[in-house]
Amino acid sequence: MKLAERLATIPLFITATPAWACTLCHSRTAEAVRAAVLGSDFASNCAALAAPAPVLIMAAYAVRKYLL
Amino acid sequence: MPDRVLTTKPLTTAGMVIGIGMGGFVDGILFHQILQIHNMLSTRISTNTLIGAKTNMVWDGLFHALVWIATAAGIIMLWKAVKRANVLLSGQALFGSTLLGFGLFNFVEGIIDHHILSLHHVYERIGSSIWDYVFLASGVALILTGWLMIRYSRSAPIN
Repeated sequence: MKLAERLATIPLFITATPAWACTLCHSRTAEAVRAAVLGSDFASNCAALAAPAPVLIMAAYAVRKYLL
Repeated sequence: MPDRVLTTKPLTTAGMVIGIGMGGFVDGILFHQILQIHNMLSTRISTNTLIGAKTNMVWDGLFHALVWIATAAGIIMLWKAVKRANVLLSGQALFGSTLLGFGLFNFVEGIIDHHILSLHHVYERIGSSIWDYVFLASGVALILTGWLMIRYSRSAPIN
């Protein structure tokens, strides 16, 4: 195969994958991921994600005060 | 010149905060990414599909952002601690407090995320399991080990 023909296949590897779903991409998969992340449960998921943080801060404060 | 009273408290507080952050990185890097036995919201959003896996990947990233902030805060506290003249710079106390923070992360995150909110379980494939309790026990063991190391470092003679 000539070099030019080999090189011509490179864009196919880059563009043809269905997993092309970077968070801000404009593909069907990316849009579905954004819809899932930013859906109606977005606020509750954010709250759940952050829930350990205030408890850890309070625990660290208590450890500093009483154990260290 | 009067003897200064040396303390390890600023050093161990910094170490504990760094340990909390790095404990989060151990969880995120080892369990979420390398072993992939659970992800941040893998009980709520199944990882069996490409969309589900990638959605969890976004939430894993946000989790990593939070533990990065904790680690950065700990490094700033450590920098301030080492600049103080009255701080005993004990490597054992620093390492012990890092273990203590690591254990605090495992215990608190385990209680809240695994048991109260059920965001994910340690081995998601089998759901709530003995591994969730092993995770909590590892937290308690790390807290105790770290605390004992800090106590021992205080009682060790200063050269």
